[in-house]
Amino acid sequence: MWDRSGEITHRFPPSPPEETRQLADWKDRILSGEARFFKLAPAEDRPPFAVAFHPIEDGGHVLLIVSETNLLQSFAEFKYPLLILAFAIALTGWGVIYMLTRRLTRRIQEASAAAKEIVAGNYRLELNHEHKEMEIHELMIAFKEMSERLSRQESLRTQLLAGVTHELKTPVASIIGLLQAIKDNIVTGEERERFLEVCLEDSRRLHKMVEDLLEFNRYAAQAVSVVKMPCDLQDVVSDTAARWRQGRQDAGLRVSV
Amino acid sequence: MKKILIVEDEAGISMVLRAYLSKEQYEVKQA
Repeated sequence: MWDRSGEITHRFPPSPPEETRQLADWKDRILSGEARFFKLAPAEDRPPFAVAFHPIEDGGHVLLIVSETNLLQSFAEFKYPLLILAFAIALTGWGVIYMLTRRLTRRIQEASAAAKEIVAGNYRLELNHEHKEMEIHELMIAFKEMSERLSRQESLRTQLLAGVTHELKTPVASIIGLLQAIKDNIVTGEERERFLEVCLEDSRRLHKMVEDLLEFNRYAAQAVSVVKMPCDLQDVVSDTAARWRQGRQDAGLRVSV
Repeated sequence: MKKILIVEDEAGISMVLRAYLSKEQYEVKQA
């Protein structure tokens, strides 16, 4: 340790290496702050000494004189803990990211499995939608709603198909039976004419049902464009009542609007 | 003569059944 004038006040060890005599040549530059860190010329075949200065508040300087070999060794010794620390931080970071992504991946796998079940036609999904992550929670709720809606649609489609099949099959069976009876000469004369009339009625009914079905399909496929326009409600009701009256007056029914 | 009751809401099918069964000497009634 130096005082303000560059005189040694304390030193350790008491007997410094002989290279420290060179410090006298650096004294002016050290005191002016020009030199802070430098090397001393090596004596004999020893490694050189490195010198570092730092001014202290009350005046004077602290000098640190270290053999360059020791300095590098210290550096190397410090390097390994640093590497271990960096590795530990990286490992911890990787672990945290792995745990977070694993949780998310598990939820996404759950959603993916649910999607596969829906593709396979199984709409009765057992989804756990109590998730902490809001986005996953909403995704699971949406999946549940989608599966329930698809299930309802599938049920309605099956019912509709069964109903349509029955309604189409009945007049066809009637037409076949009537024609077969005529062909087998089971009926003759007026009864035969009556059979042909019923056969014709059933054919028309069948035709109308097929047309209705095609129209329904066009509507379901949104191929029918609906034009909204104002109209006189009284005209619509009167026209509907007039159509309804036709053929019902004989039955004693009366409609008043 | 054997009696038979037809329970069928489809008019055409009822007529066909009635015709065939009458031919076979059944007394047919419509429900």
